[in-house]
Amino acid sequence: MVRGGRVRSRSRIFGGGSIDHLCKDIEHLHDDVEHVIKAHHTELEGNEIREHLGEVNERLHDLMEHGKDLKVVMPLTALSVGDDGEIVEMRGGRGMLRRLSDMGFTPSARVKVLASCPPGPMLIGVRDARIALGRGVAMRIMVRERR
Amino acid sequence: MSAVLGEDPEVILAERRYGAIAKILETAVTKTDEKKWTFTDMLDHVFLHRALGIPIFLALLWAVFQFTFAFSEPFMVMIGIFFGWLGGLAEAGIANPHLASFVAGGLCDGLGSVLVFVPPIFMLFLALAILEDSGYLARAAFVMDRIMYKLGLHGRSFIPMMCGFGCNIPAIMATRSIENEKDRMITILVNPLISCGARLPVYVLISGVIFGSSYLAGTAVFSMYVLGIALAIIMALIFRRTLFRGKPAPFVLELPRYQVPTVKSTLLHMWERGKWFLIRAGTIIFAVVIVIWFLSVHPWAATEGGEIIEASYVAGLGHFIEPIFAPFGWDWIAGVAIIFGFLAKEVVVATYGMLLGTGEEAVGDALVSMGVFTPLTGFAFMAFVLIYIPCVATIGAIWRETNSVKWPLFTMAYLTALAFIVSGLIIGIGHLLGFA
Amino acid sequence: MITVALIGNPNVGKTELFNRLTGLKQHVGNWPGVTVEKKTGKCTYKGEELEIVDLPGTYSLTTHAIDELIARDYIVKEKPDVVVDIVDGTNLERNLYLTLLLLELEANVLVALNQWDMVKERGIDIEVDKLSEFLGVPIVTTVAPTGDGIEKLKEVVVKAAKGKEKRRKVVLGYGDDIEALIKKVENEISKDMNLSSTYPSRWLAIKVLEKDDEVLKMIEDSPYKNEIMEMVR
Repeated sequence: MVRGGRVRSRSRIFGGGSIDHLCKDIEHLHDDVEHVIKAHHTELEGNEIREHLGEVNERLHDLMEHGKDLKVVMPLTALSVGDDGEIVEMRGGRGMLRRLSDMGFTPSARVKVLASCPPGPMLIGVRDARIALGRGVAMRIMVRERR
Repeated sequence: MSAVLGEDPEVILAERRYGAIAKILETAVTKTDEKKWTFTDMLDHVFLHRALGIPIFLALLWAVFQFTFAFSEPFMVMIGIFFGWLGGLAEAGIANPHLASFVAGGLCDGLGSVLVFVPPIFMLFLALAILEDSGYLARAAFVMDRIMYKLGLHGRSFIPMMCGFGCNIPAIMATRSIENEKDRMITILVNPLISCGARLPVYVLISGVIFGSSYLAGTAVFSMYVLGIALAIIMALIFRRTLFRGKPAPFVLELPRYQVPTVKSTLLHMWERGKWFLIRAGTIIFAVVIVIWFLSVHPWAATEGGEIIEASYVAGLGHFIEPIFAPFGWDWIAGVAIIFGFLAKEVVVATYGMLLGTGEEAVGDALVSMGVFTPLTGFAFMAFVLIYIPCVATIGAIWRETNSVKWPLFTMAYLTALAFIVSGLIIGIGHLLGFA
Repeated sequence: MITVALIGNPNVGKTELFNRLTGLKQHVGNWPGVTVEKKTGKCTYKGEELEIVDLPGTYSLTTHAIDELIARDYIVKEKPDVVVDIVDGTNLERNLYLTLLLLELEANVLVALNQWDMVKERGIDIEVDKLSEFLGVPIVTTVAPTGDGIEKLKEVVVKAAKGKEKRRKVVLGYGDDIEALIKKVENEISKDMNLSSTYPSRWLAIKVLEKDDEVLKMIEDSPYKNEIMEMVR
């Protein structure tokens, strides 16, 4: 909350450790800057500072969206049979990454979980093919769930 | 540059390539009915089921073995009768006693007792070819991977293991599909423990002698297969902990669409694997049979034309090594059979066939009347034949596939040692339990 | 005699097609120095003799797997007259990946669009002419199990070998940012006469960016090594 146009103290902004907290803090910061702009509306009219503040708020807005994104990125193993996903990033050694990307597993590729036998492999539908991946491999493919 | 390409340029480039492909496909291809389940999806829903997957696979495996042996039995009988008839004809009809003895004793009794097993081996490879070409085998690797992983093996090691039930040689060659060297080596080294088709004659023979035609005989044979698999698992675990440390390579396998295999290509497939058995039969076994025959009928005078085996060179050789095997309760014929069995395990039966002067069916009866094996010593003998050095052709395959002399020698050494240990244990435990 | 290389993803029916083309006139051996099976065969079409080499089934042409290296080396060093890329019509997206790589290698590519019967059955509508135009290579639809399209395939192979098939060199772009990099590296590479006359320089440039082991080794020996490597710093 903004009192008298002053933004919250720093300690409140950098509290909490998880992505959730970070997102909340960014959201609050965004709101605070909004309030500052509105509160000092008349003084800032035609002023460069208003433009800069506006840009700052846009950046904060982008961070908010990115934060929302991050919250829903999970390893492929977290999806259940029938779920769809989109690959965000892949981790692993050069050889494995190469192999996976040649077979169709690339960032922004759509994947679908066709079968899963924990602790055994998963069967993933990717680019019209059915590829079985061991658990260790699937764990290193980060996806965003699609509904 | 790394700003654009990042840490893994190949991934970004792959992504762009697929992007280009997507654009092309957008304009040239229209798909309909994406959500509809295909035949493959339906089958996979069953075959890859979390709970049902493995039982279905085991059931299919059992069915394969049943089909193989049931279907080939009439053919086996026919071949047996043929060689028996030929042998009789030779003995009666050929004037020259040496030649007569060779054709009847060497060829018909010896080689014939081995060729009898051509039908089941080819049937087994046919079944495997059908499973592979239809696309099911990849599913089997999928459901078995979870277990393979715990054993320190790769899901892909599975298919060569399956082939081993027919013949170890194409099985070892099939390990080429395993990319990781360590996984591949372990698969090669334990493969000889899988009971190949050549050992089947020995099991059938000995278990028939000990247990007659009761269901116990079939169980004894089955137990050999199980013992082989158990030992393969144990040795795989040991190798994984000692010589080939590390985790199995990551499992990445494409599951192709199910399709009905074409007759021509499946038969070709079967032939490619089965022909190795025929080549071995035609060359090595044939050569060995000649050698054994020769040694068993000479000195000609002493043996009276092959009638009295006890006086032949082979008997001399047998008695010489008898002490090694005496503690196991095996006689000199067993010793000779084992030695020649190194060259080709079927020769174990061929040896008996020739030395006892009978054809395949009658060997069993002859052994029974001679009281050569007790249930315990017979069982231990089967185990020994299962484990000890694989036939020379398999050693040759290991040499070729590993490109070194070290590994074949190591295989010979560890398998012989293991054979003595396991048979010794069987005998020892048997004695403790009061068996003779 | 016309040399034809068969290549394609695993499980597309390449073996079937090879059997159809060569019948029983096959010869199985090994690629030199390795334990990978090499199948060759012959067939004739209207008096022309075709020697067909079955390359290992592969998803890509990197240096990581021995199968891929063999396939790539054969195409680059032996320079077969025609490379038939067998593509599974029901799985176009992934299959075309290899096709793109072959086009980058500037091989004389001809696409055999296999499993055409399944394509029809699944209701996938592929405008073959459009696809052919986009890729700049001739496309023949085939059904390996029945042999449909095999004769047509042989006909087009012979035409393509003689340069009588309509081809268009198609360059598929990687996006402006990467294209700029490729151009820079390509410029330096083309200064090395030796390299650029043996291999397509654009392909070499892309391989350098991919940190391809074999190509990097070749660059090591090049007099322009430093200039080239400077571009990828």
